[in-house]
Amino acid sequence: MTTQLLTLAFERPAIDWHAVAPEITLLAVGCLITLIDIVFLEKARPYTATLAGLGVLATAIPIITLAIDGVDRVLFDGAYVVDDFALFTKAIFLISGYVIILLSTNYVAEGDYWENEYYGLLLASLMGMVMMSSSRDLISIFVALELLSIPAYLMVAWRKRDARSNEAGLKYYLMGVFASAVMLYGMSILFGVSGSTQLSDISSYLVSDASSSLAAVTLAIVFVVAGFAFKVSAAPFHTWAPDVYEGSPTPVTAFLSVASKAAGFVALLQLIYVGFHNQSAVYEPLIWILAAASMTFGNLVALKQTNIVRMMAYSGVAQTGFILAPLAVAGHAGLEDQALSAVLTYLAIYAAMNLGAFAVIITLSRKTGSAEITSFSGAFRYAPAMTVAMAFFLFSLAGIPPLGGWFAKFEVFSVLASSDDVWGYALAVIAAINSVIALYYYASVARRMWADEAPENDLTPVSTTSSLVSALVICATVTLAFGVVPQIVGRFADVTLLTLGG
Amino acid sequence: MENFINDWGLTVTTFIPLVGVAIMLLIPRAQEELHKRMALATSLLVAVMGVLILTEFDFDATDKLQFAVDHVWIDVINSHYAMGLDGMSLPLVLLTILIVPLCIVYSWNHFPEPQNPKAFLILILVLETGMIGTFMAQDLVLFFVFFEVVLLPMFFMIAVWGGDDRRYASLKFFLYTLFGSALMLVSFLALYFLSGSESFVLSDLIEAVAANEISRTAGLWIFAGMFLGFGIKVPMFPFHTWLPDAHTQAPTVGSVILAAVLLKLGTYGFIRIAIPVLPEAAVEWAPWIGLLAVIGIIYGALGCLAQTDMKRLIAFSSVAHMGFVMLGISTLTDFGINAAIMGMVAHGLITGMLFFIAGSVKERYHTLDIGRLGGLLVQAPRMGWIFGLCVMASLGLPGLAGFWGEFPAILSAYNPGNGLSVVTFRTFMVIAALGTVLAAGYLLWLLQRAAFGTPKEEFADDPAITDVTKHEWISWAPILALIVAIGIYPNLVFRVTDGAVDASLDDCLQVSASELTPEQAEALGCDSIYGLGEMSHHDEHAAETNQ
Amino acid sequence: MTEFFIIAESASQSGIPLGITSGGSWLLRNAWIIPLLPALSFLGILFFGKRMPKKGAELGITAVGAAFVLAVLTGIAWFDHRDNYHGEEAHLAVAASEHHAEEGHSDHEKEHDEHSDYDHGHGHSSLAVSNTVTWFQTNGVDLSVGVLVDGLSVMMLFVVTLISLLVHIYSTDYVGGDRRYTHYFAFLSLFSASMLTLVISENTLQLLVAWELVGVCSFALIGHWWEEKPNSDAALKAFLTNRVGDMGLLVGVTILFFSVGSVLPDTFGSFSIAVTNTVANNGLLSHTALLVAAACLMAAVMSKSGQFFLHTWLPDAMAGPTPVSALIHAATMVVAGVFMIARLYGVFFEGLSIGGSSINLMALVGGITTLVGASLAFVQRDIKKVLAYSTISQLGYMVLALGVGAWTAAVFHLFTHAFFKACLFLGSGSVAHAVHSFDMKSDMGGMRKAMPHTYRTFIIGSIALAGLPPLAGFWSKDEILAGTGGWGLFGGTGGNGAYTLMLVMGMITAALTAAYMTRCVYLTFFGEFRGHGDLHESGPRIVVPLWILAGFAVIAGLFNLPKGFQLVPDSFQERFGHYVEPVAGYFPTIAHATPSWSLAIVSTLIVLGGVTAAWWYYFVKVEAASKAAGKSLTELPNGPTTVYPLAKLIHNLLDKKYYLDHLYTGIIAGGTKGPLARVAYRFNQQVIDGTVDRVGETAVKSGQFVYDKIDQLVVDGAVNTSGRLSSEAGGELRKVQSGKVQSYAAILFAAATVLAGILIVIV
Repeated sequence: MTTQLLTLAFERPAIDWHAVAPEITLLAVGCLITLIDIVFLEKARPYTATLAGLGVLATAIPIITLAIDGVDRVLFDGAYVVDDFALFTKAIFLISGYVIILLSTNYVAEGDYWENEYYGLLLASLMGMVMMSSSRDLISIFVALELLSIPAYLMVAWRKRDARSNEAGLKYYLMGVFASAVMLYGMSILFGVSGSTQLSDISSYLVSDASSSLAAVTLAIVFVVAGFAFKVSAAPFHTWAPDVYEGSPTPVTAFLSVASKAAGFVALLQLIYVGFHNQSAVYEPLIWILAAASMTFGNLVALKQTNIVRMMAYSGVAQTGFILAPLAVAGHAGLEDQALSAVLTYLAIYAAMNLGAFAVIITLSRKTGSAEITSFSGAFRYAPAMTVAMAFFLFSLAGIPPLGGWFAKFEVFSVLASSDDVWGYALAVIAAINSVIALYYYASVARRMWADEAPENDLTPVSTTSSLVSALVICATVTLAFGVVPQIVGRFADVTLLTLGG
Repeated sequence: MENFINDWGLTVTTFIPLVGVAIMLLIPRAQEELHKRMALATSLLVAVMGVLILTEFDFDATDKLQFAVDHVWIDVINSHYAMGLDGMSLPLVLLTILIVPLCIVYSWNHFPEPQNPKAFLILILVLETGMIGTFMAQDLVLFFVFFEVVLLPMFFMIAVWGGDDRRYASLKFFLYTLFGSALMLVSFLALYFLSGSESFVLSDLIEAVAANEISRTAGLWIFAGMFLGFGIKVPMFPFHTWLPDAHTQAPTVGSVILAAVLLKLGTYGFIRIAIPVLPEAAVEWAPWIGLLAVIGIIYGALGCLAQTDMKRLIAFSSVAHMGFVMLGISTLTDFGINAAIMGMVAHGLITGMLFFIAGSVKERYHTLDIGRLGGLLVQAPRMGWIFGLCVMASLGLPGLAGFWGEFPAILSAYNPGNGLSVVTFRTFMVIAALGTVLAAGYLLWLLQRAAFGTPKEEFADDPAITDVTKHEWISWAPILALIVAIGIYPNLVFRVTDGAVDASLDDCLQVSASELTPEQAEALGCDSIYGLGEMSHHDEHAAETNQ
Repeated sequence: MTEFFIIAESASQSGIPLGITSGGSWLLRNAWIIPLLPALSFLGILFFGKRMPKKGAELGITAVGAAFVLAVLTGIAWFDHRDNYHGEEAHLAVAASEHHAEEGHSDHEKEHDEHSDYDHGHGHSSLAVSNTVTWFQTNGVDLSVGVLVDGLSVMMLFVVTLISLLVHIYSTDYVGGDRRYTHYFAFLSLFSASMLTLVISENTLQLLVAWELVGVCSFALIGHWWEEKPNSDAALKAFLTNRVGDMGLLVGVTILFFSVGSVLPDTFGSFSIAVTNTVANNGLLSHTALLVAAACLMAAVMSKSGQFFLHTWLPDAMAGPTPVSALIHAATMVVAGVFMIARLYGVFFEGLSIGGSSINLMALVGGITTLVGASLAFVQRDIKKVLAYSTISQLGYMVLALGVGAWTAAVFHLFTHAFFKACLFLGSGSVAHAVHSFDMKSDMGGMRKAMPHTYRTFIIGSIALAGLPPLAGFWSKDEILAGTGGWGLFGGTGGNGAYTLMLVMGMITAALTAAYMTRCVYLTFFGEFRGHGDLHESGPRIVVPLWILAGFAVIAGLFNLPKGFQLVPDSFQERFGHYVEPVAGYFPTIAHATPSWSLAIVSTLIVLGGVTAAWWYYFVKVEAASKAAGKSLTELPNGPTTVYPLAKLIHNLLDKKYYLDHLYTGIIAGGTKGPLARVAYRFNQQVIDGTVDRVGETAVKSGQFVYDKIDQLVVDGAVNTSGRLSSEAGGELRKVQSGKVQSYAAILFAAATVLAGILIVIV
């Protein structure tokens, strides 16, 4: 071992610059923003958000060119891969990131906080996510995870004079560390058992030497999955979410609930599909439990929330359950691709509708100054468009056609229904019942906004900003388009992970 | 023109309302008149399309899907944008197209609180798209989408413009129906995967199911899922409790649309999807459907007798009337299903009309408490007479539309489809016939207390109580004319539906066992399916008849 | 449904002869014009009536008048057709040959031949004229609408149009100036149209439609003055009671439809009346099916024709205007049930085994009804109610007659009864018009002087009703009594069986009828006037119809002088029977009773006995008591009901109408509307809806529970503990930071460990 290490002279790995162009672009923009802040100080503030936005959009360019190119690129001996899956998920991250920048624009500016640093961190976190999409190695996954998490801890605690924000930041940080610890433990067992950090190697080891220490492998898988279950806030690892969501600045909440969650799922998918794909006996029941628990638990608890952000947090837990559900049957022969595309479809649609909902919440909170559901009563009287949009997003979350959410749910159901397995059907029925429960609180909010009297009969219109409106328009358009022509998302989500690295 | 209708007719008809909605969204809310005109124009344009379709419709081929379009819609799940019109859907589509403009006219000058015609009319138009689409969709996923689209506008209509208890009612309506449709969706998917069908297109599914036999248990479960989905929508006893609340709380126009069209989505689902796709499961479930149907008939009637609110009474009567429709369907005979479609149309017109009247009464008296009403015939004689006519139609008076839904349904229960127990269904028939007596009871009782007698003192000199207004005449006259026209010449509907129903039913269901020789049965592949080998009760029956 | 008629080339043997033809005179084939006329006038009056000079009445009278003329012409055409038509006959192909019950069939054929020879002495059958068009099709079968014209329908057309015309004319005076004059005439027209449709119905479906329509007209006209609750109550009661019967009709028609279909090739059902009867007559249908169908149809008859125990609506129906009572509730609509039996006689004859029996459901129902009606007529104060119960009683007579197989007698009684009962009703209306009341006891008496025309016509009607020769009622009643076949004194009268019980019932009723009519006449026209206001005879529009009806009440009986009646030439005997009774495949083979002089004499004596008894009580005793008291009395001060407990008991029972109303209104309707509906509704609200609500509540509550007890349990516990610990430190932040995060982390680790443990065990 020692001699080997010594004999290996450092060799610059061949880097496909095209493949890592998105990451580099993001990095460059991040640095630029930081530099600008240092040089121009306050004068640059009005432009930072725009710059960050442009940077994110610029990052999309190499992604598009890569997509057009269409070749799967493997870097670093398979530790870093750029394929359709990676590109698709990167696109999700970037678009979500752009919308979050739009949402943040005025929010952060008006709050008298460090604006430039905020965007710098946001971009850093985004970069972590973008990297996550390509990581097919335990180490790169872990690095990406930390890269996306650490800025997020800071962002959560952004309102530094607000105790709740601080509390949330600290809580999120501590919990994140615990989760990482658990995950690392699992990873170390994996490495110990298989002798490699590369997912594809782990996978082939697990196949070839299936007899060896099953318990250890199981333990490892559970711990790794648990770590990501924390990230995606699946029950029972969701406990941080409501407190953190409530305490964070709302754009950050949106960021956590969408982008960060998606990143967790991306990692989970890679692990399951590439790393554990022969271990369905372990991960299927595990995911089944997580999915069923998340849906049921999230929905039931969401029923009783009076604060809309907390409600969204719990609804996010429930949605996580839905997204996980296809993975509970992903090990069934012939269902792999379908399950994968169901998860990806769901993620894309979920991003659009959830961000939309947060956009409305942010807008309305500007007027009401509160996130209590009651304070949104009667919004239809003074902000009809916002209310209609909110109804749109809420019913989309509930899965009512022709809004995007229905197709996401539909894909989930269709994977479960085609499993031809009692457990699959059972999960489908649980999901069906849960979608009804979910509708209750979504519809309650919508109804309150439409039908009730505004508090104190205050009918002054809400002030909106162009960036909020554009964020809303983007989300609404995408939500509706995904619902009416699900083709759009369906086509792109139709990717595969299995052929890689094997 | 012909080509245009053929290729684009259905699509255009379905989506014109949405175009109208898009335009209305751009018009400021304050311009109420413009909104009303715009909405009316849109719905009339749909009506014009309806007329064009009607003129191009080939009445000699009602069993074929006409103006069919079929494009791949979501290729990842093999779902198609497949639309088509045949004799089974045509009456219901036309009913929808008719009712919507009438509702818009009706609400012209009295939008319910809190006003806002823009939003209200937009919802109605969205609703129209959903309803027309549901009746035309030939792909299960597409059907599901339209089926659900209908929910949203109705939810808001009840939640925003409804009565005092609107929160409860709207949510209940929404959750109840969504619960059914969620399970229905699971059934659709299971059906698709188990049958190995190429796509979600109905004809493909039927073929696939026929080709690859689905296990009996699976068939039963899948049918059960659809049963719940459609049954809640119908609504069948005991899933009906959303209906009285929704109707009572909904604004008048909402109730009308709910009664006239929305309730038909469920029954339509049975005859369009559930029974043609899974005839064998249908045979096994039919006695239970029939049982729930007759319970619904009696139970709905008893519920009516206990009501003190006019609107709630009419709502309960829907439970009873839809019971007749479901009884017809449960016989699984051509006769019964024709009767059911007739029943749907008739109920749509008549109960819709009754809700219109209830709305107008409420507007004039500000109450629907039957105990406080009275003397409508004195104060508003024309409205009283119209009310009387509708009551008569509703209780199934021959010569008016209601009879042709009710009587043939009862008739068909005497000779249910192949494989069903004759004794059971004859019992149902007698109970259903008893239901007609109760129907007469509660309806006449309502008529007596609301229309006869002299006005109560509190309303005696109320100048607000006027007779039928111009807008009311415009919106009611077509419905009344149709009630009478169909009553006198039921062929208006039967001629259209007959061929389509015949084509949609499995061959084995249609022949009466007594007429089926064993060779024929074998040729049709019936004996394996419907247990004709046993022929127990049929034999008895035949023997009895032939003595 | 015409496609399964095979119109045979000649007298071919293919299939069973139906006794109908699609040929015949234009008038017969197009009898549908007759109902069309009043139907058009209904629409005309409805839409334009109020704007017309006479408020629509002229339109109704014109239409019904034209219909009457057409009906008469149709009748004349029928006379010719009956005697001289030799056209093609429709035959019925039957599904499978083995269905023929060979022996039974040939028996029938033989009987049939004998019977035609015996009865009518004509070599050919009386072919009914049938003309149909498709109404609608369902299940690939065309259902038709059309006319079936034979003697029965022609007779009904004549009666309905004539009485309707007279009632129209009468009404112009009687309801002149009424608040809803135009509507009244509109509904009279609609009624006429429906009733005329009913009598020419070619099939049972059409019959059912018309049946319901006459019901609704009756509803509308009974409730004509709906401002007063008793009137609308009566209307409701009539409609609902009829609905109960209609249920039977629905089921019965359904059974027949499919039963017939089962023996026909290429179709699964048939509504055709001719086909149904023919198939039943030929023994092709199972007896059980026919019995059940007949029993169901009997329910319809019981409600529509006021048979015991569904008769209670009929007296209440007198709440309507009197001309309506005359037209609808005496002469025409209420006989629809009787007509229906006569129409579907094949079904009833076979189903109830009328031939060769001594008792059956129909005869029994008729017999009981006739007694119940007659006995209740005794205790009425209201002149219209006397007549209403009398109507019930007479309808019972007709049903009884049909039940014993005396078809012609029943139909003939229907014919004669229509005239004299309409005459009596219109007469009572004329009286009431003068005194503004129907109460005989408090507001009438001694009216013979002031209203001579009314008085005379009323007397004629009463005698006809009582059945004294030679007025109409005598002949028809006597034929019925003979038709029972129960008159065994001189060797029986033949007929279809020995219905001795029915004969006795008929005899008793005859006596009762005579007695209560005597009472009624006394209370109305004799004694001193007890009401107020000045009496006057009614105008010509009232009196002329009265005299016309009285005229018919006198002569109608002569249309069917008994066979073998020695006082007239043969060609005057049994004219009615000859033209009205079908001799065709669709009519069953019935045996005819022999008229009996002895029976006629005895029954007349019985009637005279009834008259005498009542005369002795009222004209002698009460009159004397009145004179003694110096005022007009209505009964003896110490009448039998106050003296004898048994009589009191009976009086009480009659007064309470055998408690049937109490049973229906109080117990059945009240029970359904009250407790039963309430229970159902409570079940709905509390059990079903309650379940739904509770499921919802449970979901929400379990949400709360999960949130409080699981999601926050560890937290809360920790918070409480740490809260206590940190209360001195006082830091909100500290509490949260330390407490919650620790517990969250605990959950995280615990969950991961537990899951791992579980999976290691499972996998």
